[in-house]
Amino acid sequence: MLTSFTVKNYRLFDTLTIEPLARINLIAGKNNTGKTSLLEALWLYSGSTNPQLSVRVNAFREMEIFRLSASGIWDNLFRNFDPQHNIFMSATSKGTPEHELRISLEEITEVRIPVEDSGNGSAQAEQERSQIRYVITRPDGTQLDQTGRIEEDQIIFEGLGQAMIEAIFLPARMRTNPKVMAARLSHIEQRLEEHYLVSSMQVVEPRIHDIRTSSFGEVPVFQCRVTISGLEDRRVPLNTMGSGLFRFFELLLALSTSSGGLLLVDEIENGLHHSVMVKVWTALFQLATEFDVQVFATTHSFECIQAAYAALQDEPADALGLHRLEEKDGQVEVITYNADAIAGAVKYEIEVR
Amino acid sequence: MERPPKDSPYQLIVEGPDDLFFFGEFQTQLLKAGLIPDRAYITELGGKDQTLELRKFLSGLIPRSKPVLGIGLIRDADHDPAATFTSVQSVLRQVDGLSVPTVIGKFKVDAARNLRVGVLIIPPDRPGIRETVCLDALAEHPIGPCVDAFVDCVSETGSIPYFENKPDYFKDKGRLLAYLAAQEHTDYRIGIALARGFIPWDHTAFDSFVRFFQGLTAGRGV
Repeated sequence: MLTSFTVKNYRLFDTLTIEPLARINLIAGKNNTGKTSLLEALWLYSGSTNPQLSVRVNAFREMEIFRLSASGIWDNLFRNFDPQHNIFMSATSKGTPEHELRISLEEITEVRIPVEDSGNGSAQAEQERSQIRYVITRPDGTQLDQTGRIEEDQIIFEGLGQAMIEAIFLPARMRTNPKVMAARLSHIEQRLEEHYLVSSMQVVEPRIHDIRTSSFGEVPVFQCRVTISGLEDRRVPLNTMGSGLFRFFELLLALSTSSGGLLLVDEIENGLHHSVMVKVWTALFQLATEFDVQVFATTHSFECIQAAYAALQDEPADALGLHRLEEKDGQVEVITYNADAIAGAVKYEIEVR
Repeated sequence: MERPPKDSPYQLIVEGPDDLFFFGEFQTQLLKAGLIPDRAYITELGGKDQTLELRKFLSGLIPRSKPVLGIGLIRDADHDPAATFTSVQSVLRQVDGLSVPTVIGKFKVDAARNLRVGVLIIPPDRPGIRETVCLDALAEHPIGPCVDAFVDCVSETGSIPYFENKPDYFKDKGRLLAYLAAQEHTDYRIGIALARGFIPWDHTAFDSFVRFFQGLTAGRGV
């Protein structure tokens, strides 16, 4: 579990260190203070060996790529759209340094000579282009160097490796593809861990007994066995039990397949009625503890924060963290609430968002 | 009683609902008289045993999104004003980022945070409670001797356990209520009595209150 995280020169962050981190971390703050960017930074950091994520973070924001160019894709990752300053990320886990990630955008100059022209020395085409470079420094000092560049109509990445830390990002504006969800459920079933999922679902909907995937054409459908008063148990599509329960299932699936890693959720309250949020947090915390997953979730909802506190107030002090991002003189700062501060803010309804 | 918004930059913390009402009316009078520029938002923490609540409340208040400029705490002196002040100081020290005042009624200013913090113990120099100060303001009232005689008489019967083996200031609540019982349209809420003019808020006995509210809302004298 990470205990601190530092990011420099990413999107609107100059230097931001967030600590101490808890099992469940709520990220609050006004619009455009960097809540989503913080989740993205954690995602890029956890998937350091995969520069493809640097493209996918834009897709999560529904940013169209109008022009397949390095500047069009990657410039916006750098503070003030200025790649002169490298992006840097680091973290600690119980005081021990984790790996460091440095991302730079650098010019490459290539000379391309068509083979048929190579003999006459003419028609040399010199091109100035950019490539994104990831340099990962492991705690033992060894480094991994990776690059990504654009070749005509493709983005080519070299030197991909295994993720440093497992992480799943659930963006605010996109629901997880049902096929991906089915793959996650299959993964859980293979590990014979579906009972964790079902018991977590039962915290919110006690009538559910199991969940399976069936196919409707190409599209997976999640069927659950439910007890309905006065009737025999029957299977019904999970979608018919309300969008909130489906959203909860999406969260649980992601959490159950991020074992030992991070679950990053943008606007966690989306689709969930405030009246079930205490149960949602209870279940998420239980499952996060079981699978050793650290949760980072942004929220605009005070009720969501109240519910998290209500669910976790009797848990250890590192169960719940509240971090508010705020912009001050052009810099984003983080205010981290300790246990007393969360308790006071929730009980006396002091504005924290 | 008009209340300012909860996110007011000036926050006053008192012991209970009666204090909330009394000091709410008190600052209304100060505002009407032009002695303070703004009202503080008053929070009551539910009684005297409030160490944990006070710590939680302040811990949540300090990092809130809208800056707090002034925090005031008012506590009854009870048996020992210095000990009460020390007790409040010890709670303040447990709150991250809070300046701790060193003199009763004076604000400690944290220039970097632009935050002033003050603690008023009432009365500041002898055992007592809020009603003790109200009685000071009524000391010259013609019915003062009648009130004293009534409470002494009741006390001597030994039939009121609340008075038994207690410091004299315990009787101040009874004395003030006896005074209020003699007023037109009897109401035992001292905030109402203040609003109706039965307790003279502008008496010199309340000078320390006035200075405290001025320090809290205007930074005057800090």
